[in-house]
Amino acid sequence: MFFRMTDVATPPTAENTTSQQVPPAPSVKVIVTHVEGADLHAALATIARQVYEAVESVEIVGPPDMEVEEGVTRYETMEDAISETGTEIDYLWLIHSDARPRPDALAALVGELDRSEASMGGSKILVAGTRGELESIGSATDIFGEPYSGLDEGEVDLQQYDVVREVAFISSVSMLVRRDLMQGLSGVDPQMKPGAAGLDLSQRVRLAGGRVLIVPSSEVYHQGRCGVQRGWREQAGRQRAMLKAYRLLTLAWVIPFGLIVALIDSVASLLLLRWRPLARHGAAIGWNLIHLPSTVAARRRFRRVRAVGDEELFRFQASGSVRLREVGSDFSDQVLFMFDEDHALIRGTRRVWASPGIWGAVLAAVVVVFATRSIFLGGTPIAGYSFPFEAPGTALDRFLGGWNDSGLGSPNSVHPSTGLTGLASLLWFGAEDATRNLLTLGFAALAVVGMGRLAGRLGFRGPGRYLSGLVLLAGPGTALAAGVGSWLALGGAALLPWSVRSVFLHDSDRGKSYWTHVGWAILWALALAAFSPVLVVVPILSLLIWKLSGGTEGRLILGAASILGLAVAAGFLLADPGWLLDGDRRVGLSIDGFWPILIVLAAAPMILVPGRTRRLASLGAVLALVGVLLSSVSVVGPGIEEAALVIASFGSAIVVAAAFDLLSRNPLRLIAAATAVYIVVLSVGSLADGRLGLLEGDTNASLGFASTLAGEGGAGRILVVSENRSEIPGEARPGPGFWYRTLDGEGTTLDEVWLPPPAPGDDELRAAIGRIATGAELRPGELLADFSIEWVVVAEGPGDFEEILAAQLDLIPTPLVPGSSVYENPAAMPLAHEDVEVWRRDGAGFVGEPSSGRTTISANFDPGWSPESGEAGWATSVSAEAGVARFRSTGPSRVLPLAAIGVLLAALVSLAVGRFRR
Amino acid sequence: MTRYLMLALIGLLAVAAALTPQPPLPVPGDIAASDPPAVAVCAVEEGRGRTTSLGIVSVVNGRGRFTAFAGGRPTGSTIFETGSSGSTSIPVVDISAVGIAAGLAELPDIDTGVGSVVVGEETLSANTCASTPARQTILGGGSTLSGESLELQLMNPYAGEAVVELTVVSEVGIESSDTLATVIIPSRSSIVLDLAEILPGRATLSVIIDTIRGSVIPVGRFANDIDTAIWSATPPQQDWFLVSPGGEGRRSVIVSTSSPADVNYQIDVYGPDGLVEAMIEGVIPGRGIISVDLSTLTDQQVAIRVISTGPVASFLRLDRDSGVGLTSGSTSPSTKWLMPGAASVGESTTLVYILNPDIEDATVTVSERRSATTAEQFPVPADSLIVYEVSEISADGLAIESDVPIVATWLTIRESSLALATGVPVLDG
Repeated sequence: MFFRMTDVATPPTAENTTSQQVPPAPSVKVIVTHVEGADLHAALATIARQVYEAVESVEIVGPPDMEVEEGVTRYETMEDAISETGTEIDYLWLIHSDARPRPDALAALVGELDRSEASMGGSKILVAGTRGELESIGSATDIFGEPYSGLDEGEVDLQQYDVVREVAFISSVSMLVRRDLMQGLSGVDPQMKPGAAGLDLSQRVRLAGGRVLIVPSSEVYHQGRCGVQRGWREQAGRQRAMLKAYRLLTLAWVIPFGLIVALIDSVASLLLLRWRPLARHGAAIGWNLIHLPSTVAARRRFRRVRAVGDEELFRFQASGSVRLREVGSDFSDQVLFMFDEDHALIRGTRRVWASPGIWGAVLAAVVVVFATRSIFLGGTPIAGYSFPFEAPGTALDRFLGGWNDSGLGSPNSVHPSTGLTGLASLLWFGAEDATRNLLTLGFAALAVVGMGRLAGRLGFRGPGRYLSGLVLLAGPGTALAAGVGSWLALGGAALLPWSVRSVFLHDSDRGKSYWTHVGWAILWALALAAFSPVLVVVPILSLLIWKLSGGTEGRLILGAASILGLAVAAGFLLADPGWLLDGDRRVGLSIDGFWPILIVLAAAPMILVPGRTRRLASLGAVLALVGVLLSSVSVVGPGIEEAALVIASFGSAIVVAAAFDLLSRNPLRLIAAATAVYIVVLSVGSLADGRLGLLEGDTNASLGFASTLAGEGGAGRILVVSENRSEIPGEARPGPGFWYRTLDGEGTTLDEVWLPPPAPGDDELRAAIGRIATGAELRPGELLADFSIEWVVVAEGPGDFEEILAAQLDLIPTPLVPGSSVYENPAAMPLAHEDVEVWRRDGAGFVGEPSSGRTTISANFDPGWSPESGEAGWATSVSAEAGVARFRSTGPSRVLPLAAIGVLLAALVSLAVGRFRR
Repeated sequence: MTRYLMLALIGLLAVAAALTPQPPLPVPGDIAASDPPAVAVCAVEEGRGRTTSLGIVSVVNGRGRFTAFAGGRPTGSTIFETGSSGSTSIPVVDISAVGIAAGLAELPDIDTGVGSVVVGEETLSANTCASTPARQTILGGGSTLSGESLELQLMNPYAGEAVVELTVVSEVGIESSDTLATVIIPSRSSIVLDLAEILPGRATLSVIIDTIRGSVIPVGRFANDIDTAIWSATPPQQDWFLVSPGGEGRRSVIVSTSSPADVNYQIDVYGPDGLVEAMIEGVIPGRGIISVDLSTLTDQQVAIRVISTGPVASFLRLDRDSGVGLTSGSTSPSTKWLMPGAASVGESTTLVYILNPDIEDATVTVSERRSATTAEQFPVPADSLIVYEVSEISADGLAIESDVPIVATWLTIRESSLALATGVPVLDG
C-alpha cells in the first residue's frame, strides 16, 4: 500500500527496508448507486482514476433500462449487489453516481479503516462546483433522528474539521463498509432514500458493535442530484431508522415527543408562511404507518446482531430538537431582518455601524423601549377608548354576525377590530390580556420598523427612516388620539406604513411573483382596516401622490387590491354610517395650528433642493396637511377624525424620514433637518409616560365592584354620567347637560368602544335619563331598572346630575370609586330572566333553567334572537323551553364577515401561489 | 415643473389648514329645565304629650303617600287622597309612633302644600313643610336664654347620606363649637342638635347650614316655659315679606346673612299709616344677625318688606304671654296661597293676615278646605293689611286666591298657646 498524499489524520508511513512480507492490500468492491441525471461515465472515470489498486470490481445499482459500460455489472437493488459479493472482498465502497471522488479518496478510506479497525468510514463531502464548500463532515442527530451537521450555511473547508473521529452517521454519498458486516446487516434498507439509508446503516453498524468514522482525508465532491436529506421520504426514512434502532423503552417516549415536535414545527412554520413542513410531517407519519409491518420485521431481523444498547446512539446525539432549533433560528432571522433590511448584522458586526439606517434604528429602539416601559411592567392601560379584549370565542362570534353587546345591544356588526383581536387571542392560546399587551408592544415595533421598511422600499437608506417611526407613533395626530386612549388609532398607525409599503415595489422586489405582492397588499390592508377602516384609502392615495410627483415605484393594481381590505369593515361601516359622517359624534380632537407651519418648514426646502428626497418630502407633506385639514372639518364622524389624525402623523413621519435621509451643509437641507429634529423632539415628549402616550388608568378595575358584587345572573349594566366627555370610557351619548353611556358590569371589552346607532331601547333610556335630569323623578332606580342598570356612576362630580341624585329615594350612594359618585340600584332587573329565574351569560348569549315560560332579555329587540323571539316593549323575549338564548344575524352583518374571510383566504392563496411560482 | 406643482399644492393645503378654524368641541344637549318632584319633608313629633297632624291642601284631587322614617328606614307609611276638596289631614300617630322624627310626603301635584301641626296639652306649633332642599339655608330667630330650648333638626329622607357644615351666629358673633362644625345625617334619618345645651344663654341665634353632600331639610324647634314653635330654615334671598299680628307681646323681625361681607338693608312698613318706605335702614355685619323689635313701632298688625344688598333670611318671632310663634317670611307675593294645617286645631281661633303690597285693590277669596268646603270673598285695599278670622269649624287647611298678588300668614291661638306660619305660595298662580 502506498500513500501519495499526507495529512494530519494519516501520517506518512515509513517504507519498509526489511525483507518482511507485506500483507496484501484489502480488496475493495465499488458499488455505484445510480442517481437520476448524473453522468455515470464521468463517475466511473473518476473511480478508475483512484490510486488504490486493490479494486476488484466496479458494479452499478440502477434501473434495468440504464446503459452501462461493457464489463460493468448492473444490479437492480443494492441488496442484490451486496449479497452477490464474494468472501474475497474485504470492503465495499458505496458511492453515488453524482459523486466525484479525488484520486486518493478510496485509499484514504481503506487506510484509515484498516488502521483504526473500524467497520465503516465516510468521506468528507464537498459541494461540487464551489471553492470547497462543505456538505458533510459526518453528522450527529438529535433523539428524533434529525441530522445535525454543525456546519454553517456555505461554510468553506479550511481543514478545520480534518480530524479522524467517530460520528453518529456518515453520508451515503461515499462510504466504505466491511463486507462481512454489510452482509450480516442485510445491507442498506431498500425502502429508504440515500440520506436516511446512510443514517440507518450507520446506526445499525454501531449497535452491532462496529465503529463509524469520518475520514476527512478522503474528499469527494458531490453534485447533489440525489437530494440527500431533502423531501418527506428522507424524513420518513429517518423516522423508520429510529423505529428500527431504538429499544421499545426508548420508543415509548421518543414517539410522543416526536409528535409534539412535529406539531410545533408545523404550526411555527405556518406562522412563517411555510406549509411544507406540515405536509412533510403528515406524509412521513403516514408513510411509516403504511410501512409499519416491514419496519417491525426489520427490527426483528436486526435484534439477532445487536450487541449494544441505545446508549451507544445517545453518545453522539445533539441535545434538544434540531428541528425546533431551526424554527427558532428562522424566527429570529425574520425579526432581525425587519430591522436589518440591509443585512448589516448578517454581514458581520464590524460592518454593522456602516449601515446608514442602523444608527436611527438603534436610537428609535432605545426610545421605544423607554416609551413602552409601563406596558412591560403593568400592561396596556384600560382607559378612554382603550378597552381589553373579549374572550376569543365570543369575540369571533360577535364578528361573525353575533350580538353586538355595546350599549343596550344591537344586531349591527361590531367594530372589525373585534374579529382580528379575537383571532389573535385565539392564536395566542386564548390569553387575551397577554395578546393585547403583545400587540401594543408590537405596535411600537411595527411603527418604527414599518417606517424604516417603507422608506427602504422607496429607495431611502438614511438614518432617519427608523427614527421617523417615533413621529408616526407620537406625532401631531397620534399623540392626540393616544391621549384619549385610542388604542385602535395606535394600531392603525403601526400598520399604515406596512400597508402603504405593500403597494410600492423596489427594484430588489422584482424577483418576487406578482401574486405575492397582491397577497401582501390585501393582507396588510385587511389588518389595517380592522383597526381603522378609513386608513385603507391611504395606500392608494400615497401611490397617486407618488406618481403625481414623478415616482415610478408604485403599482396601481396593488393599490386597487389594497382597497379589498375594506371587506373586513364593510358590515360595520354600512350598519353605522354615522361613524363616518356624523360630526356630532366626533371625539373633538384638533391638531394645533403650528403643525402645518412645521411641516411646510421641513418639507419645502427639500422640494426646492434637487435630489431624490424631493418626492418623499412631497408625499409626506401632502399627506400630513391633508390629515391636519381633515381633522379640522367638523362635519366628519369619529372614524374619519381618527384616520385624519393618523394620516397627519404618518405624513409628518415621512417628511422627517426625508429630511434625515441625506445630511449635508446645504442651507435648505439644514433648515429641513433642524425642523425635523424639532418635530421628533416634540413627538417623543408625549412618549415619556412609558405608555406610548396612551391614557393612564384601568376602567375595569375602577368599575370592578360591579362584577364583584354581582348576583347569580352576573353583573348588569353600569350607567356612566359625566359633564366631561373624556371621563366616560369609549363613545358617549349627549344627555341634557352631560354625557352618558352604559357599560357592561362584567367588564367592558373592545367591541363596546363604539355605540351602535340608537334603537328603541336607547331612545327610551334617553327619555328616562332626561326625566331624571329634571329632578322630577323621586325614584330614578325604578326608571332605570328595566335597562338592567345596576349601577350609576357620576364621574368627576359634583355636577347638576349629582345634585339631582342627592334628592332621590332608591339609588343608594356607595363610596366605591374615589373621585366619582357611585349609586347602586337595588331595583335593577337581571340582563336575562324568566319570571324569577335569573339566566346567566354564555358567550354572546344566555343560558338558564329550561321552563315553559318566556325569558326577557334586556337588549334591543331583534328577530334574530332565538328560540321564538318576541318583543317585550323595547326589549327582547325568547322561549325559555330550550334553556338557551342565542342571536344570529340574518342580514349583511352575517354575510359581510364571511366575505371578509373570503378575501383573507384569497390573499393567502395569492401568497401561496406567489411562493410556489418563485 | 413637478416640484412647483407640488409646492403649490402643499402651499394651498397649508393655507387651508391654517385658515380652517378648529371645530367646536362636541357639547351635550341643553341642560334640562328643573322640574322638582312634588314632595314635602315634614318634621313630626309623637310622644311627650304631643302629636302631629299633617294638613294637606292641593289644587288637584289626587293620590299621595306619606312615609315616616327614622334610623335609616321607613317606620310607617300611608296612602292618602286629597279628594274633591283637594285636601286631607293625616294624624301621624296612626302611622308611626316615632318620637321626634321626619316624614316624606309624595304629593299628587307640585301645587300642593303640606303643613305639620304639633299639638300638646298646652302647646301648639305649626310649620309649612319644605319641598325643595337647598345647598345653603339659614335658620334664624331662636334663642337659648334661661328656660328656653332650641333644637336644630336636620332631616334627610333620601337614599344617600348627607353632610352639612354649620355656622352659628349669635349676638357675640360667630360661635365656635366642634360639635357644630360638620354633621353627618345618615339616609332616611334625622338628627336633632340641642343648641341650648351647646350654646346656652344666647338671646339671638342664627344657624347657617351649608350642605356639602346629599340633601338636608333643616327645621328649628323652640320651646319656652309656655309654648313651642317649629319653623323651617330658608335659603337666603334679597327681598322678603313678613306679616305680623298685632296685639300684646313682643314681635321681632330677625334678619341674618350668610354673606361674609356686610349687607345693607332697608325695611318698608305696611302699617296703619299705609306704606312707609325705608322706615328702618342699617347694615348687617358679614355672617351677622340683627333683630328689629316691631313692637316699638306700633301695637297694630303690620307687614314689612326687607330689601337687602346681599342674600339674607328673614324671620318673624312672636312672643306673647299666651304662646310663642316663629316663621320665616315670603320672598314674593302670589295670587294663590295654600295654608295647609291652618284652622285644623279644634277649640282655637285662626286669623289670616293678608297683605296687598300691590298698587291696586285686591279681591280675595278664602276657602276653608274640608269635606264641605266653604269660601268667603272680600276686598283688600292696595298697600294695606287686613285680618280675616276663620270659622271655628275645623278644616284641613285654607286656600286663598286673589286677583292681584298678595302675601298671607296665619295665626292660630288656643288658650295658652299659639301657632304662626306663613302660607305656601303657588308660584304659577
